[in-house]
Amino acid sequence: MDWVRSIPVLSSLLLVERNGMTFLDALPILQNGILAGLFVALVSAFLGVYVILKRIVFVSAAISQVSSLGVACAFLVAALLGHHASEVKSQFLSGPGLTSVVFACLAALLLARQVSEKRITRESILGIGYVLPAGLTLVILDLLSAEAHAIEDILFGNSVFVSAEQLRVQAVTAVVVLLVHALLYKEFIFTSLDPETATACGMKTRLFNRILLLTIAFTIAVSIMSIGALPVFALMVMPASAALTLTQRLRTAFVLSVAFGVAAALVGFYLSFVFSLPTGPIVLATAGLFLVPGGAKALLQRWRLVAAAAA
Amino acid sequence: MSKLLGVHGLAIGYGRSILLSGINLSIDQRDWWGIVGPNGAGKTTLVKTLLGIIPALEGRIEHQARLSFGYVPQRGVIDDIFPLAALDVVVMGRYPRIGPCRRVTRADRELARHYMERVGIAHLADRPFRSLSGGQKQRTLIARGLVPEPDVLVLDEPTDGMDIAGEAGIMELISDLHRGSGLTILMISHSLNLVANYARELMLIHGHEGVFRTGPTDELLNAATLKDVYGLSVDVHAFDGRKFLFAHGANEPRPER
Repeated sequence: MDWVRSIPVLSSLLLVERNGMTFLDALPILQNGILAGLFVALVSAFLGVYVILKRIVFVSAAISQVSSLGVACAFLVAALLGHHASEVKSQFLSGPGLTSVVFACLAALLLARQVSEKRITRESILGIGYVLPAGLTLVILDLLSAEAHAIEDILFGNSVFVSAEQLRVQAVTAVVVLLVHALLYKEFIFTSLDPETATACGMKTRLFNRILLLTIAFTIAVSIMSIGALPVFALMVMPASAALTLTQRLRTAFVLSVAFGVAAALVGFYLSFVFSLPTGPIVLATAGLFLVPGGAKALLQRWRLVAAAAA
Repeated sequence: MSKLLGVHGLAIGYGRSILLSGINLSIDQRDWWGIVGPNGAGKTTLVKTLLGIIPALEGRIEHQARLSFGYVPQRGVIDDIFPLAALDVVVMGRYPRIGPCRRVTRADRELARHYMERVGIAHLADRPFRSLSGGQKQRTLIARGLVPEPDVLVLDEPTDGMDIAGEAGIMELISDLHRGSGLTILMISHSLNLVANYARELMLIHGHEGVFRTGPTDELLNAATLKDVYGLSVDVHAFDGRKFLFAHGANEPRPER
């Protein structure tokens, strides 16, 4: 501990006290949550660039709701079979974790299908895909009101106390998803930018689009159980939006987005401890701060144009 | 000239709805085909079916083994939200050749630069694609269509929305490519004047009227055929080796000669 005290800025940050405990003292308790949050931020912020570029922000929102319905359904089926919520929770990987991933992936495959917009628009399908599972999840929670607390822990994430098993799942998800993206980067970019030309040139556009959406669905399904649906959505949308307003280079956008996402998670966890605020919302708010430079840049450019026109 | 592509009894359309059926067609090496017809006639649907972007509803398409296409879509299909340099967009044309899980090599980038130079935009390689003018974007997409070194280059409205200088520049470029490397060209265009002066073969299409005619441009581009397809009186004139088409309203009397 003495080495920390010898470093001026670090000591004042890490040794800040809350309820008689310094941040450094609390780290062993918080470390799983912080690490899980970092993995979520890393992979969500990376995928977020695709989410923004492909204009599928509300696809990710709908997937997160369907995934939550998967969790609720696992508890409902277990309750109907006479099992208690705590038993289901202890069998995380074969229970709610599995149904969450399966529901999310099915939703992604359904939403990847091209629809004729003559009778129903894509926006309507996304709206229904968002609101219907959200409503059904609330009905199931009401039906299982006696066990609602245990379910909500999984459904909305408990960013502070993440189990070692959940942390492992989160880490493996991040590694696998990033590996798939490293291997298929070219294909994902071309088929996202210009799917028809990619198909005409002989690429399996539908396959690559499905793989891309499955990686997004898988990440959402696993991540919402670590930190909750809203922070995952925020980490997928805000760092990427902030990055894309700052650069004209795609690779730089990916790097900036990941940097903003990871920084938002780290700073958010720290502020949550220091000010005793709920972690998910404060991570979300911190991610929002990264939109300020892009907004300022846009304002400056507009001001310069107006000034040039006036001169 | 060897046959590249044969179409037999093809029906095109979307979903289960057939727009046009009974299409027979043969495309040879070094051909230059113009594809014309009114709005919504099925020109793009036909081309997308030939390219495999949408499935054929009936019939069959046979092509030479390993026949490759370069496709130049309308420039508006490229979403400006993507922060890509012009060179990045051109290199994409190599991706299908490189294959999944393999990296873009220096040779691929050099080839992309070579085709950017060929279409006269080498100096724009590092410029953001979204900041380019309409003509520069079109040239970038043509370079992307050429970079896989295809057998057939398919262009969808390559001069749409361009001024006269841009239009002339793009058409001269395509003409040079056709003459220089013997590239087979399929070009959709609304401009009958362009097609009349560049394409040697013509596809006249009007799906809703069940019209699909093919033949040499000089034979097919006449007042009677155009009246059938467009419902308009069209005069075709030749001057100084070039053709000019003038349309009159459907009920408008022709001017005195």
